[in-house]
Amino acid sequence: MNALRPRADDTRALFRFVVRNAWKFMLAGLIGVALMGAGLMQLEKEPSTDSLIPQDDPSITMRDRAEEIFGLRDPVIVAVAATDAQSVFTPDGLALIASLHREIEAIDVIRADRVASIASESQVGGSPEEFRVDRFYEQAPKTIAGAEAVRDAVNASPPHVGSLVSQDGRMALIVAELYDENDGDPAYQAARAIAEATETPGYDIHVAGEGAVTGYLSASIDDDGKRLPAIAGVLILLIVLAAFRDVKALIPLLVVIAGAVAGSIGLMSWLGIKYYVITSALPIILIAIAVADTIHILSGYFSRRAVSPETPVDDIIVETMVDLWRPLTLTTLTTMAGFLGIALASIMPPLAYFGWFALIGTFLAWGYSLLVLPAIMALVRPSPSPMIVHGRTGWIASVLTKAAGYCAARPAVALAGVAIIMLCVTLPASAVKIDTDRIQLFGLHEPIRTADVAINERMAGTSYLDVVIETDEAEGLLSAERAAKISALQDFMTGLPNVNKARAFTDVVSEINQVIGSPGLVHDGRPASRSLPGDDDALAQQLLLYEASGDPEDIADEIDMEYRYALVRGFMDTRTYTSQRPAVEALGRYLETEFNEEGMTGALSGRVNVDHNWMKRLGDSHVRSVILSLALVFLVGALLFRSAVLGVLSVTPVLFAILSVYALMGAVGIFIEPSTSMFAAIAIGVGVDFAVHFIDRIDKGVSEGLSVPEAIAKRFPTSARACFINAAALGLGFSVLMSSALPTVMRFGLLIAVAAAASFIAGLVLTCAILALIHRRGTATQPLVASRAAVKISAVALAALLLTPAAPLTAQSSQLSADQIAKKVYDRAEGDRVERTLAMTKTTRGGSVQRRQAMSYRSGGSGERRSLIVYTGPRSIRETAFMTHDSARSGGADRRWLYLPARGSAMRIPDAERGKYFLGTGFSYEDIKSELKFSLDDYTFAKASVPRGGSQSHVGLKATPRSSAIARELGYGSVHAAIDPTSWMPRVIVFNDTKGKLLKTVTVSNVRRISGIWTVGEVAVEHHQKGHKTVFAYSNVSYGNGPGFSEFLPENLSKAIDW
Amino acid sequence: MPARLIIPALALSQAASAVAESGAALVPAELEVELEAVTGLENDLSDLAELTLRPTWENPSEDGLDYTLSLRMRVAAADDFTPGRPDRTGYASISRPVALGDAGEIELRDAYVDFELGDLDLRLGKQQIVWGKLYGFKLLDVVNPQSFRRFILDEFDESRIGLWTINARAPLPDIGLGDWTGQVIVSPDTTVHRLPNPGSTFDLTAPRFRFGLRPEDPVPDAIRTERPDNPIDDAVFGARLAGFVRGIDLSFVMVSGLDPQPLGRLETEGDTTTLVRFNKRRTLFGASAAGNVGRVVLRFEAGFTPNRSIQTRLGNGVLSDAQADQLGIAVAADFSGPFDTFMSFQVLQDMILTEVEGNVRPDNDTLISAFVRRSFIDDKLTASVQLLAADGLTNFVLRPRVTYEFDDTTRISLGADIFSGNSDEIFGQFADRDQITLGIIRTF
Repeated sequence: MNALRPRADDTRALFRFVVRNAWKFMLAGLIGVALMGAGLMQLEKEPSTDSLIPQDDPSITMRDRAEEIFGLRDPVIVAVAATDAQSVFTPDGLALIASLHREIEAIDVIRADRVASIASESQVGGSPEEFRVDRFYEQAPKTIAGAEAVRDAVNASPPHVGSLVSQDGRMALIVAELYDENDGDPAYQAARAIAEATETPGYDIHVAGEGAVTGYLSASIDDDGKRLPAIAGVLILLIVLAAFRDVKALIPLLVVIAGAVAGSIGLMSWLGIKYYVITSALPIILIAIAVADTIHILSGYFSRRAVSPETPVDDIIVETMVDLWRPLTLTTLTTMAGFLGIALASIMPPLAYFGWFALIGTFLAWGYSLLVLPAIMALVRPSPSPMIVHGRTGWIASVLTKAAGYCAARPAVALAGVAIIMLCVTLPASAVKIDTDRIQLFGLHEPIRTADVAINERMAGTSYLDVVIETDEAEGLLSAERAAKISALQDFMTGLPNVNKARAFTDVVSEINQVIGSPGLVHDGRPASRSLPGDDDALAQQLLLYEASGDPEDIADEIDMEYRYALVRGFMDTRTYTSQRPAVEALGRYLETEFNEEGMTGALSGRVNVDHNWMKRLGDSHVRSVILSLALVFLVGALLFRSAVLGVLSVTPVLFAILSVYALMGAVGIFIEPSTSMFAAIAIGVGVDFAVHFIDRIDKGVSEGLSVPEAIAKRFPTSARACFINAAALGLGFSVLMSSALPTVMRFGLLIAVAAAASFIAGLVLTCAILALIHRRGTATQPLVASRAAVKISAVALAALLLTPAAPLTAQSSQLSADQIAKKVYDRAEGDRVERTLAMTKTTRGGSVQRRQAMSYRSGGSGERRSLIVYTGPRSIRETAFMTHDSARSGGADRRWLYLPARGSAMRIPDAERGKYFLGTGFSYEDIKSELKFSLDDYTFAKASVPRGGSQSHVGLKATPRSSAIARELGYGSVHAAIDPTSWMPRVIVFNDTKGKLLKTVTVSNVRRISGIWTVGEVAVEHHQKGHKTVFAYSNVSYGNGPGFSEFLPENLSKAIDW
Repeated sequence: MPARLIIPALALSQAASAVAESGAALVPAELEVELEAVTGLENDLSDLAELTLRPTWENPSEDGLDYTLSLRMRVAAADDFTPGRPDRTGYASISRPVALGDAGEIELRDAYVDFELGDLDLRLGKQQIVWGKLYGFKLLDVVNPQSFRRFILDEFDESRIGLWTINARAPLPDIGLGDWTGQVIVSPDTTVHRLPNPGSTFDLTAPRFRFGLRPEDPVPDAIRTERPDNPIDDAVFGARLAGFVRGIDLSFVMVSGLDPQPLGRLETEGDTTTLVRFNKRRTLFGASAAGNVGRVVLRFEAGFTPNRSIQTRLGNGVLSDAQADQLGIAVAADFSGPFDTFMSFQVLQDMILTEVEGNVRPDNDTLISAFVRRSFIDDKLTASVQLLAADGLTNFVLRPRVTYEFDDTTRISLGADIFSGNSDEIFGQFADRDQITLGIIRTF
């Protein structure tokens, strides 16, 4: 147990230096706070809950695209529900709807042109000779008969039943879209104010809708973010005050808190990173961590003052710091390791930032605790604490020390007890499931929640599952065949669970067709459920007729003005992820296997798809971040204590705590959802401190020749008391979150509080019992080498477990011709062995030209492709060689080496992310590896128009990454290629980035057959965003020549120049 | 002909005939010119302005006989960096640089020929051999001695001293255990580490590097080096097996030869006390492995030196040496970090396993390195920070650096070396020598 232990003399000298220069250190600390904290002035808040999702996620991209084409925004919905009256179709009811419609329109954050209700919508009517599109009503009817006429008209218009008015006529909606979705809360509040001011007997008015839910949720979390950290901070300070009863002790504490919190969040702001909704938890965590460090130092200081009141204060401070330097450093490192786990494993960018800045804040808390806190203590000289008196242990320390002593004296009993509890909690813990329901994030009696429930009960649903249909040319949707296919898609959607309605432009067309009497079409041998025109011209004429007769804006959210894009909206009456999943997955499969065709594709969109897409990945991310955090904490613990056993011991109490929390979640039905998914990694980071402190104290006693029980008796009281106060501060600090109006935040607070308590108790019991056992058996002093070997093996095993890329997506069977084209391209012969001369030219935006000459070799075999580029010029890089062993298996590990002649040996280099640029060129590593092919595992394919630069004889192919993770890895949101069907060689490839913006264009030229293999002469890539161009010109291509497969070895790179 | 001259003579004659056949002129194939200015942050101890020329001649020929010849000419603006004539006593006579006054020298860096005999690749001549996989630390990279003129701040490629060596390598027959290469080296060159002059900027002052002499001890009146000069008894022999097995680079090495790190003893004759520096043989056995785990490259290196002679200082102040087993283990990880960075972390534990009375170095040395690099502006600008630390992170050197490449031939770099620690520690001994370095390199 010889953890990092600097010589006491050195540390004593350091702290003496700090105390002697107390003013300077305090000033430096305050200047540091001021400089870092100045960033807070420009702190930018991002209250939207959508910001949790990576903005390049395809579901977000597709939703944004739908918004762009159809002008769609998540709406605020105002519902008029008849209570006493039987229907909204009464003169009062219709007048109320019309009046509310006008008032909602007048809200400044609402788009007046995108407010829909039966007071604004139209019906198709008349006859083939006199076609009309009329409003359901212009003025609210005064009579019952007039109201019933409106009811009949609405009921005869299927598109609006279920979406604007309930089937039973007892509820009608006013659906209002926002200019900016971030204005959801003001829109909701304004609509609520209107609803409350408009009391009409017999009618209830509810306000809900996706826009309202998102906005109100964001506002509530934002409000919590402003309120709760301050309350938690005050509470924690009160605990410290109660613990030491010395106001002066709060001064250094406040500076350490300022250093950690203002420093970390200030730096975050300086770096231009926004303050997200989940960042609100960061100040609380950092306060708790800063307080934890300070409590230990203050406890040590007051204990020493109590023991020797005559000793000069400066000496007491120095000795306290010498004693505590090490455990504070150990806990800081383990805490940082826990946060590193969050930062590395999170799929949510705000949570990853949270991890990084919690890590930085922890580091700052450590720095301030060690260098600024003693300086301030030397200046303020806290008086002896009445709470810590020499010879009086205090009941907390006394009870804890006795408990620890019991565990050490009877380790078997203590461990058996823990084992039994662990067994008991395993069962409920296994019942935890990943799910979310956005409406359940609100309290049971929140008006928005009751409104949402009421609306979903009567209407088709307030959750939208959309399909964006895209054709490859303008007027591509003016096809009777395609309209019938879209109608069939609607039918399929309404057959899915929880989807009660699917609306598209075909509904309006069907209405028109019924009026003007065109014959229906049979689709796939089945009669179509809608009466659609039988030929393309009739369809075009009917849509033209609608445009001419009514307001084209009425269907602008269903089909665009060029008739190229259409939207099919499915209305779902559930917000639960697990309830939505079957419909989303079935619809995705249907689109891929039944719907997509040459020239027309459908893609999932809408809020339901967004939520589904990333919830699907949240589970993996959660497990990954927990395992990674545990592994990192273990690794750091093992390295610091130089013992794998103690590494395990550091991590076991938090493991127990996490299991307990899972058990609690399973027992009371708390889901793993975005907010609760954070608890485990945070609990690991802050919970591990207790075990580390206990191990360190006992270690120190044992190193002085004491037995474990003796060490506990002598070394434990102060530390145990400090840890108890720390746990109490942490638990109570987080329990403040339970005062939030949002159940999800309450749950989060509860979980962390429970985790803190469980970590503390488990830390105390397990460390004392296990260390007692170890020392009894004499294994604690195993040689360092053995421990390090164990650490190494464990680290490798864990790293292998954690860092292995996610399993490749299985290629789905498809008979689509686009897939066949992609397969042809993929299967194009490339020769098992090839040697080429390569001339690379890069022209920068400024026009400067960089030239490189190289030999390029490639050989395939044993499921691997090995390639090598050896530079032959210019002289400064001659002989530099870059070799890769690329696994042909998707997801298989690739290996890379760089040979630098000056070094004289090959260095293994990390596998660059696939999307990174290859040696400063415009080609990514994946481009180089793929040799102008598209991985069938990475993309889904659809036929498309030929991109600019291709010729008439080429085939257009569009490839879309199968998941946002792949898109992010590749750096491409979509790839559009012109394929030469003669050679199955892409001739032009246009790449868009993950945000859909034009990224680069690859042009392939001088393609000819060599030894029967289609061979590229020149590949040029123009990077539109960076403004540079790279040309790879190949010459002297020779198949069957060059080094053999087995010669591509790192050992051979030094002589590769001679190949 | 003395044995130590055989290899140089062979290599040079081969090279001469290759030059003659290729008709190469005296004009070098490449000339690198480096101008470097260093200024101390706390005092003028580190101040330096130095011009370095590195001409290289080589002939990559088609007939299988290649030669490489490179020189390094270094001239400082003033003789205040290493006052007096630099100590070159560590060099064997055949490898010794030629002095250009007190502030300059010319050194033959490489002079070798490459040719093949069947499957056997032979490299004959003065050359560097790198068998380690660590950056910034040396565990298995021990074939060549090193110049500590600027402590460990120079790149190892720059500070490593080439040895006249026979270097033979051949692939081993495939027996189904992956691809293996065998390598054997023999070097009669008895050059050892080059230590900085006493009083020079990077004079090693920590007692552990001064043979146990403490600052309060009287300064020896003279220093004498007992030159190892028997090219057979003092030769370096080495063997290495390098394999590529299931995606892992493996190697096993053995190096037996003169330990380039000198030991010291004091001899008193009359009123004169002389510090005698001498070297003893040692044999190192080592292994290394490197492989990918996901996107992380993990490297591992271990070296065991049984009965290595280590410096002692007995209670009565007598400097001596004793034998002890030494074990070094290193683990490293390289990966692409957040924000497009490259990151590398290494931990090296160097342990003396035998209890030795008066051992002047700690029984355990923990060395840690962290390196972060990021490129900007289409890789033209590279910023990096390297931290090398020992013994609990209070004893370190921090090396931030920015390099800008104007084009293929010119690059400029600005960096700093910040030392911290106590005067008896590895890095702390230079705590008052923090410095800023500005360099420009142009290749012709």
